[in-house]
Amino acid sequence: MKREVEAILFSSSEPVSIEEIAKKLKVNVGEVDRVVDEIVRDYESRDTAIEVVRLGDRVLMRVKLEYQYLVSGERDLDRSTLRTLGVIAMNQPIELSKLAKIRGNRCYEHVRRLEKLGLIRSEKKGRTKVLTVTEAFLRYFGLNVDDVEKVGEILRSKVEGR
Amino acid sequence: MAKRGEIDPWKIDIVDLTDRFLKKIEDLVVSGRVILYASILLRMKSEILLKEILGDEEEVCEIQDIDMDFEIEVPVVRKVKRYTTLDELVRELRRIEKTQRKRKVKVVFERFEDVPHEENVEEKILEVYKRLLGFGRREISFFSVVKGLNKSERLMFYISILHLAFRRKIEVRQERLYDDIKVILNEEGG
Repeated sequence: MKREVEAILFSSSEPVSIEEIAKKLKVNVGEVDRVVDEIVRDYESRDTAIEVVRLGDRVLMRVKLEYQYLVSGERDLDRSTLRTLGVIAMNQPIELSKLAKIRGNRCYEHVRRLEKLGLIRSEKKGRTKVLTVTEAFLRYFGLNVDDVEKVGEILRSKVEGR
Repeated sequence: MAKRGEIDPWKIDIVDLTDRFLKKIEDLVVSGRVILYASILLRMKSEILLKEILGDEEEVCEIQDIDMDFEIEVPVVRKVKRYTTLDELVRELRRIEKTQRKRKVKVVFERFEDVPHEENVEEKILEVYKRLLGFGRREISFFSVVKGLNKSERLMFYISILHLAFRRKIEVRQERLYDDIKVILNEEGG
């Protein structure tokens, strides 16, 4: 099954959910989960430019971050979505209503996509939602920190060029 | 998409639109297959009907010579996407900050512009009129009146004079551009 999972990951340019893979291969989620772990370890041990990363319950096969500059395809996150993600990361935890004031109404669409990618999570708070970035965000951007709460501070120092 | 409110027709994100278009095109592969399978089924039905009408005659054989038993293999092409880097995220954040700074300056500027409107203009006009009357003569030089006032006070004085002229309380004359303005109090007004 390892090869089948690898083939699915290779043929998708978007992160694929474990559930989706299990459905496609008609096996249970736990089994796929175990195989994905094996593939992640496998790629880590290889001397290759490709990596397999877990983004929440999704898995992504991609060119390693240090070689991204060699990839000429379209970018996975458009500028507008990326800006919304940046605002969330810098101001987290941030209420969705406050985000909408900063980024406009299109932010709702961005939030849905970012949630789907597993880069942010939302929690209900009264009538609104509170947004924060996830551990997947750290892995996605290759940030070597153990606490997502530090993301805002790190970004602030980078923006200010410290 | 515009009707559904998914895109703003005045601000179309080409990358996003292209992405959606490409996804839509993918559906055509499926539609193409459906048409192919439907045509094969139609051919099989036609053959059965022809056999019933003509029996095992040559025409039927001619049709059977065309080999339709094939499958169109669509090769799997990996669509490569470039993943966003931390540098790109930081760059966008810097741009946001720059835009916000510009907006703040604009807001401050707009507030400054609003100041004369917030003040009671009528009171100011009346104050200017009283001051003009206080000179005790009909003809007054604008330059001599505003001497010593700051820029915004001069502007307010000038605007008040224009209001008074419009209301026919005074007349204003200027011989040449940038020359002194002569303020003449009207008989009935004064």
